[in-house]
Parts: sequence; C-alpha cells; structure tokens
Amino acid sequence: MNPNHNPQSSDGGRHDDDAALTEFLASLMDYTPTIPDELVEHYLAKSGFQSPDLRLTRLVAVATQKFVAEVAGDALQHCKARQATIPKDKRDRQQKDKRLVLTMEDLTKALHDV
Amino acid sequence: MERRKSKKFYEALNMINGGDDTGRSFQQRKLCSGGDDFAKAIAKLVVAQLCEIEGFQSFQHLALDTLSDVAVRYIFNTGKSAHYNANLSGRNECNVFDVILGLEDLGSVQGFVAASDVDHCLAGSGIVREIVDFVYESEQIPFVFTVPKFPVTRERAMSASFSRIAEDPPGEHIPTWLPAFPDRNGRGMEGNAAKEEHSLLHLQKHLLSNGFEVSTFVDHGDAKAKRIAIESNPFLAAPLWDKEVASVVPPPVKILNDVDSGNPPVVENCVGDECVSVVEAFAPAIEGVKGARCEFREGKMTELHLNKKHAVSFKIGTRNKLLGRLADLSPE
Repeated sequence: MNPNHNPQSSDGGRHDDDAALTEFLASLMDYTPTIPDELVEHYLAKSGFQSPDLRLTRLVAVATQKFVAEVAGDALQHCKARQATIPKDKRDRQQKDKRLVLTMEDLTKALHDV
Repeated sequence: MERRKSKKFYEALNMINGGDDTGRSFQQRKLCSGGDDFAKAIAKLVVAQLCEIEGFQSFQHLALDTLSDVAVRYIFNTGKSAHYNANLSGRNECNVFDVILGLEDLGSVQGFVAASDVDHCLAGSGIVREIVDFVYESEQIPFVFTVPKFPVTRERAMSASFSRIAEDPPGEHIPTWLPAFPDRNGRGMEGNAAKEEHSLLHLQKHLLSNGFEVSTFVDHGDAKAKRIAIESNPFLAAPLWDKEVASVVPPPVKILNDVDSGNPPVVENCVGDECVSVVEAFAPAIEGVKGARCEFREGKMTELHLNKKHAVSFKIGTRNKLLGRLADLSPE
C-alpha cells in the first residue's frame, strides 16, 4: 500500500467533483427552473441569505422544484392506488373519480413519507 | 440534528392535520399572516403548475395551500441554514458549499446517497448528484407568467445637506453632511405654509387609505370648510379642556353640630352605615385647587366650583336613603 497514491487519487477525485460542480452551476444559467428567480430571491432574502450569485438562487430553485415534484409524485401514486381499490363498476358510475385530484389525504401520506 | 430537522416536517404535518375539512384553522392562520400575499399567490400558482406537470388534473384548495406553504418553508429554511453556515465560517455572503450543507441538512431526514459519510467532499455530495440527475432528466418548463421584481422599493427624496447647498451650519458641532435646517425667515413662511398644507393633505390621504372618512380638503381661507373638516375629522377636533364639562354634585351631607365650638364643620358623607370624611376624600383635589369656593346649604345638595369648570355629577347611595336624609335635615 503506497500512501503517496491515496492523496493523489483523492485529490484527483476532488478535482473531478469540483469540475463537475462548476460545470453544473454554469449549465444552470441556461436552464430555467419552473420556480421563478424572483420568488426564490424574495424568500431567501427574508431568511437572511445574501449572495450576488444568481447560480446559487437557481440551485435553490431547482432543489425546491425537485422536492415539490417528489412530494407531488408520491401523492399521485397514493391517489392512483386509492382509485385502484375502488371496484370497476363503481368507478365507471362515478365519473369524477376518474380525474386525478390532489387531496389532503394523499398529500398527508406523501409528506409523511418525506 | 436529524431529530431537529425532522421536527420541521412534522410541524408541516401538524399544520396539515390541524386543518380540518372546512379549513377554518388554516383560514385563521391565513388572516394573521399579512404582508406577503403576493409572494404566496405566486407560490400557489407555481405549485399548481408543478402538480400539473406531474399529472394531476385538479386539486383541493386546502391541499394546494398546504403544499405551497411547505415549498415556501423549504426555500426559507434552505436560505436560513446556508446563512447560518456562512456565519459559522466568519462570512456574511453565502457560497455554494453553504447552500449544499443547507440542502444536506434538509435532506437528512429522507436520506441521500453517502449521507453517512461525514467526511465526504461537498462538491461530490449525494444531494448534488441527485439534483444534477433531476435537471438532466426532467423537461425544462418555465413558469407561465412573468413575475416582476418585488418588493418594489420607493426612492426617498432626501433633503439637501449643508455641504450640497453650500451653507455653513449654524453651529460648529453640526457636521456639514447632515441635512440642512428648514428656513425660519419670513421669506420662508410661505414655504412653511405650503409645507403644512402639503403635510395636511398627506395626512388626509393616509387616513383615507386607512379607512377614515375625510370630508373635504381644508383650505386655509375657507372657514366653513375648515369647520366641516373639524367636525368630520377626529384629529382636528378641539382639545377636551375647551369644552364644557358637567358639574360635580356630591352626595347629600350630614353636618355635625360643631359650629358653636368654633371648629369648622365636619361634613361627612354617609353611605349606608359607613361614614367617610369628605375632607379626607377630596383632600388631594382641594389642595390642588386655588380659588375654590364651597357653598353649604342646609338640607340641600352642595356644589363645588373649581376654577369656573363644571365637574361630573355623581351620586352615592340609594334614592330611598337620600329622601330619608333630607327628611332628617329639614327643620321642623
């Protein structure tokens, strides 16, 4: 076991990570998140966050979008599972149940899993 | 730390469970928030769009409000955590590593790749990899509306300093960078009147915007309009001391027979069986009054005049007792 190799390989790995992070932050300037920058900047300023770098705002926006998408996706799965338990003939009679509606029941279960 | 961070999501969960189907408690919380309605409305629209992207066709209002509130709290807590990490490092401006640490704190409840590795490099954090994967896999759909920059900050019109108007301050202790004093000369009186009129107009506008009724714009030359404005505007009403105040009528008194001995009569107010000396009761008021005169009439009410001001009338005791006292005092 050569101790000299490990720091160098770890340094190389860290350089790769840094390069990947830098490249990702640069790509965020071309990517427009669904959450607008003005809204994210408003709540970050309220919390005391201070940074002139727009890339950090975009990073927080994308992270929040991912979080909300995961919760909404889990709620959708719960909604579909609930509709699957209803018998088919009853489901045909109640047309409105075919629609996928975000309910408190599904949202509670989705947030509980988070 | 996991327990502390999981508490935030349980608070969100309690908020959900606290709202019943009618959403009454949530409405009460909504009424108390205030001041952030525009941002919350935008957040609701954003969350609705995100839910639609995921596949939902409709939503309950309470569910949408809850999810948008959770999203706002996520942004707020991320910024708060990043700011805290920056301060720990002795900085006031946050960098990308502060944000990644904040995201890791929030994501520690659910867990992420290599979360147990405490000494890992932040640049290669599992949170960052998950976000990168999400960006590359999801479709780029911008927000449907154009959001202006908010909140809008008004530019204040600062008054000119001494140095700007090339004027020496009246004292050596006053620095020249301070705003100059308003002009006190006669030449400036018209300007002062105009400023007073402007400030009065501004006050009226402010009261109008807050729901108070403002009848007319007061012109200094119009006495009638001024009187109408005074009657409608409570802040322009005359002070209380200029108004007539009702007279004070003390309760019936029983004069003790000490006049022959030369001592001043001791007047007592009797309420039921308990007697309290009037002098003792009104001693503080009497000491503060100059030129007060008292008239004592046998068997009748007395009046106490205080500097030509009428005091409030009050009666102590029941009506029946009053008549009884009068009957005792009437000469037979």
